[in-house]
Amino acid sequence: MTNFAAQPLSNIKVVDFSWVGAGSYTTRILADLGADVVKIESSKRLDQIRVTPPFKDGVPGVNRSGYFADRNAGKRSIAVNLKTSEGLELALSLIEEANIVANNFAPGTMDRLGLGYEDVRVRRPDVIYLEMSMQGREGPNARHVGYGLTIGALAGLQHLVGEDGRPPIGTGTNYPDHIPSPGHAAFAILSALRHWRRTGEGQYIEISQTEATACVLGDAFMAESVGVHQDPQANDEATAIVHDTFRTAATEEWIAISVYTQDEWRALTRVLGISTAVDANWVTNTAPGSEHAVREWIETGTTRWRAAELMEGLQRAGVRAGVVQTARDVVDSDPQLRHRGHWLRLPHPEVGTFLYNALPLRCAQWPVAPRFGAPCLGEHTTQVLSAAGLEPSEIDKLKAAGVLE
Amino acid sequence: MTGAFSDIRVIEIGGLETLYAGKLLADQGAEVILVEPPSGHVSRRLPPYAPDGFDDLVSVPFAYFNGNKRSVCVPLGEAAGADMLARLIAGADVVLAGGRPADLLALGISAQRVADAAPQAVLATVTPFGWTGPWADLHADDLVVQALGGLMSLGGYADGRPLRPPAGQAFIGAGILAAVGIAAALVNEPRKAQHIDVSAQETVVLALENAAQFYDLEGRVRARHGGTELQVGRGVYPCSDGYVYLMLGLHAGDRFWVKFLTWLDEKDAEGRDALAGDEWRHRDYAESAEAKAIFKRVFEGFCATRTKAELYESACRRGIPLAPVNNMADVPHDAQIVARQFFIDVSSDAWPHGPAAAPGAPYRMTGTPWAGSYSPEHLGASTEYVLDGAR
Repeated sequence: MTNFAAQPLSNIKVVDFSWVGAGSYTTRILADLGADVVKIESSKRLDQIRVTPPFKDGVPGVNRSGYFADRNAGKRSIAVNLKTSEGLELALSLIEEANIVANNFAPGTMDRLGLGYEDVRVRRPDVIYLEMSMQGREGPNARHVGYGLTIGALAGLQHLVGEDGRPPIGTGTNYPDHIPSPGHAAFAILSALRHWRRTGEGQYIEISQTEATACVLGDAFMAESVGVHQDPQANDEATAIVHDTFRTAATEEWIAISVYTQDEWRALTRVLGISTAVDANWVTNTAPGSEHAVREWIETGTTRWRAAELMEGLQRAGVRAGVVQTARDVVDSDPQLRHRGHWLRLPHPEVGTFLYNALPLRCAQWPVAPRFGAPCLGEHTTQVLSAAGLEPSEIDKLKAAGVLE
Repeated sequence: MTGAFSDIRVIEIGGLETLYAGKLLADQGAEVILVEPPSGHVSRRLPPYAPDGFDDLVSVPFAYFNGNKRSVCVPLGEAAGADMLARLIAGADVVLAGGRPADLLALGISAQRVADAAPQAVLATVTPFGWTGPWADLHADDLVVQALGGLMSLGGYADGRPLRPPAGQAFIGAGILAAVGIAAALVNEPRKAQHIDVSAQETVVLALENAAQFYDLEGRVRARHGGTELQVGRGVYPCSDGYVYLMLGLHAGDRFWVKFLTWLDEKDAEGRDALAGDEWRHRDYAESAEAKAIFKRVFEGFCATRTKAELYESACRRGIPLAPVNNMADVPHDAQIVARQFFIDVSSDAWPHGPAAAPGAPYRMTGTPWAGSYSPEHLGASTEYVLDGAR
């Protein structure tokens, strides 16, 4: 039986206005650490990820998106029309009992709703208030529309991946939404929580997702500023003899291999059965533009193996090597992820179950996991409002008045 | 005002795995002590190097990741070193250790040893695959972890080989989550011994966005698509001085399509009539090869005579999600970045290989503001201070 009571945030309540990517992942982290996260939604202003694929069985529906599910595990959903005065008052009364308020709307949105930091502080003076926008709360471009992929372009992430003479391609994903933005935001909130525990003081936290992303590229910026120009490097690594991905015997099965020392080089050539008479220095001194020749030569060896067997053989010889795993590999057959319990299957009222990521941290002393799966839209409206002291007749009246949708 | 961790001492030891976690804690007020062998921490040798002369501070990544930490030199592998390390751990609130579990155990670092020496300390280990398990002691670096984490199957050109994300992201990402775990463990008092066990591979898996769910729900294995668009108006397009990224987001409806067509109209873009038909609003057509080819021709023609800055300003004024593909020199001059004063100047007093410019705060907090700095220490500069100190 999982001891959720031991989680570090088990006495913490969050009123969550965040949606789409980075904001939702931030509050998912808090839920996995034990917080009670109430997600404020509305059918009039739908979280776009609810209607973003993949859907269960490929059938669209606001409660059927696996993309939505993963970033919203462990949260309860209430449907509230914040544009009504009753809806606004409901939100504020929930905030009175909460420690944290989070949103990632465009700047000014919460203020216009009457839910800005100063408004909220009247009701909850020690609130920890997170506001996370694309490029920051103020400034000439603060109102520009953007997504994780445009943030990646703005922040330099896109530029850093690619090959000479071809367009830069970034990671192929909305990377900012998944690691830099939610990770930094969660760290800031937890720092604020510690400060609150020690002093009783809340605070206002403001994050630009572009800035949070730039911080994980800080060494590249610093290098550029002292005149070391940073261009896309394919898979190159200056300190390595070999550092790339190579074909194997099966199409679309690749292996990544890194060799840093002469000993590792000898081990690689031995396992691959390619000429050990070739010195590592020949490889490192290859004329620029001939790297593909080195790669092809190594591939005369790697293409004699299936990726998994080659990885095993190289690892036994002390060489850093790993299969370039696909989504199928990591979900179905990765033994380490299974050992870590990375994949969680949690029940869902409409869909049966969804597949969720666990956070990459474990603690023997307390569980790191969501307490339940992602919510249907407005699934917990009655539950949350009853617990907040509303009578069933009051809830019915609000429903009839269109406040709870 | 001081940071949230101003009463916390962190002993940081190991390889590249811990660096960003240590920086996050240091920049929130913790005293972070980097344990280095006599040959220097491996990050002192990380390129790129500043071009103006060689010493133990020449590594740019060292200055960025360790610029706010103290350096203590410990002869690891010798008896005296084991003693010094034991003393450091005994005085620690957090032990932040990175590398293969076998290597950390060889240094005497385990949950039991740390708990015995420092009953209230948090041990956080950042390892390639986790503290235990069939792959725990595999030989790995950032590239191998990115590969085994699945992210590299999504990166690269459609017609090319898998390419990794920017260097170091597996351990930087793990570092952010490690700092999250450490901060969570420090929220409540009284503290008791805890082991936060972070896997860099699992961190990478988090970055797969919806690829795992696509496989689970629709049986589809997402593949890399670099250099191609998934649908019209979503991808990288060349312009006169580089590239722009356009994200019309047609999967979520066509509200940007209308604005986009208006934009082309207002600018009298050649060939825009080809985009006028109703078929463009249907997802099937928008994802067809024919549609993508037509769109590319029209839009690249439009961009060919315009700069990144021009296209960015023009599109955003109309509420169209377009961004310049900024390089490292562009970002510090972006009008928004400048207005926010995001980059900070690093003087040559702070870092002898400066002056330089580095990112400032990833967050802005009113009660416990970010207090980072880029003034890295020479090897062992704080050895006496820390070991002869009050603790």
